[in-house]
Amino acid sequence: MMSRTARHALVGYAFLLPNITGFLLFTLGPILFSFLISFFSWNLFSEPVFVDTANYETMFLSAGSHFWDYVGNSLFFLIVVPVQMVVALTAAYFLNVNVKGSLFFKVFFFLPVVLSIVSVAIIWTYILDTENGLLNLTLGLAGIPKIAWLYDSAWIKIGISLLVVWQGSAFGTIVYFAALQGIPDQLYEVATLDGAGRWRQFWSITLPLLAPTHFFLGITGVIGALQLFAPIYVMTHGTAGGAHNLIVEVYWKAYHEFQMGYSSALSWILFILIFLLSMFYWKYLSKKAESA
Amino acid sequence: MKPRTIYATFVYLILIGLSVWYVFPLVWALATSVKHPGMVFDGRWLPYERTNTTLIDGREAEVRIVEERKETFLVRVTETGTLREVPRENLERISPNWKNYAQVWQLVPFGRYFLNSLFVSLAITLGQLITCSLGGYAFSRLQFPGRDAIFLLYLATLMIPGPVLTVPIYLLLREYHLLNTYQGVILPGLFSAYGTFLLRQFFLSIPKELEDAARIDGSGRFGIYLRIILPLSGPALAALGTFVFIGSWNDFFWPSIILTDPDMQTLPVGLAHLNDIYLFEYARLMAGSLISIAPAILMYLFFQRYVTRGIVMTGLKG
Repeated sequence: MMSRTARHALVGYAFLLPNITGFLLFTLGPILFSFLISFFSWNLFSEPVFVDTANYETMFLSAGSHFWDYVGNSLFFLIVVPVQMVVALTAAYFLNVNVKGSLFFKVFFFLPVVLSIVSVAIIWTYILDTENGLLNLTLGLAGIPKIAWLYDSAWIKIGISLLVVWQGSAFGTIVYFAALQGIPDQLYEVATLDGAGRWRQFWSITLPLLAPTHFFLGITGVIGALQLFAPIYVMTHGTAGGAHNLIVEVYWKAYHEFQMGYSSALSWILFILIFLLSMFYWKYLSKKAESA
Repeated sequence: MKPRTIYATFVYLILIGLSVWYVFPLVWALATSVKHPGMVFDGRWLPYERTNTTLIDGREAEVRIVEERKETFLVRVTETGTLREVPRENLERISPNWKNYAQVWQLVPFGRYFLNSLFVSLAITLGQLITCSLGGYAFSRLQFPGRDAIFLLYLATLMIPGPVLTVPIYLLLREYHLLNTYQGVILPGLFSAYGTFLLRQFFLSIPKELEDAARIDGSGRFGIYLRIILPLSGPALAALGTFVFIGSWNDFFWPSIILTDPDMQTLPVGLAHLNDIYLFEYARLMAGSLISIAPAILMYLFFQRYVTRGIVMTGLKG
């Protein structure tokens, strides 16, 4: 006869079994393996060779790796995070004001969240078309000369950012809207009695009370922006051009050049980048919250 | 005007402005998708079509356009060979060109891709709900050695971005000959540390007394999980399910690596392929994009509440 604790333990492990199998095979195992092979040179067709830190050295020191360009491009896309949040907060704020029929607009504001990024990217490829795209035609009305959104290596990142903001802000709007509905009306009523106008109420009540939401959207935004892949791949037909970021390089090195070790090393650098930025963001925001 | 009216007007202007920003790209895509060949870039919203017959001197005559002028066309009448100037509207009419849809549908097996996407996404969603709820229950309610240490390990991996995992998982699937199979797409999606964490948090909020009562009635752990925990967790399961479904339905990175057989591709992968074939043929590209997002839009219109709740719950509790 088994003891009670032993039986409990067995039941516990039985429940955990399918879950932990997935965890070991598809999360923990890959993490450890990825770290290991980042010190190897391996092209799939021959035996892996231990190369110590050569992958990392090539990345950082060899000019041919273009590593710093890719880091720069990855960091550039962080611009979408604040823009996305401002658009999302504006949309959510005005959905939530006490004006008749404002909720009707919800259906438009939330819609992009379910659309596949590939379809959105294809639609925006045409919007950003140099000769006939909607954006240049609209800008043309204001006398602005045509911009080669998808071909000019300086503009392509802005072009892609536009569609990322278009789609990504819908997620933020949903989250902000839910948070806004959680702010008790009494706070605003008291503020109105004290003579505070809408603008003042927004800055003194709404914005500070949304701090956890700002934090959440900021962190998920940073993580998402650094992992931007599908729109870059689709809009440039896989060439990436001036928008070539770290994740495109991870993809390219692994699945086109089969440099599995180098690609893994790159993905770890990407992780460190995400980690540092999240930490920085966390420190910065918690300090700001303290001083507020 | 009363200040209240001025404010309301201001609010409406902003709401309408934002709606235009969100809706215009889709309307533009729809408008483009029904345009006629040669007329795609005419800078007009409506689909104009050119005919080659018009009324000349009171009877129908076949003509050929020689020159486009501002408001008129200079045409040569085929029968007599004479040049005539006719008003633009005589040779142009508005009619949506649905052929673009038929053509992309013929070239790309959208029906097949739709089923592939549906199968893969449903399998992943269902699988993840099962593994995450079992694991979440174990972490929240069962006692076993190492429980908290294992859970901490789960939490630690939440920070690791997906790309770190892809090369090893690719190699693992390759080892077991699962590249270019549905299993290759589905298996890695059957588990998520995040989903496990989410459901554990939800299960913790279910009163323990309910469980104790069932145990006195003689229910085993699995019975409790099945008959008490799961039914009480409807909202959380629906939220996680919606979130996972949308995510895998729209996923591009992983299926594009794993699925190379044209017949097995999911909607986003097939669409990206179409994008490479129909370079600059925007009318057909827009038609293809709209076909592929139509199911998502329909689903959204019917289940809007679940979609938003799913995002809010999975987002905020995390």
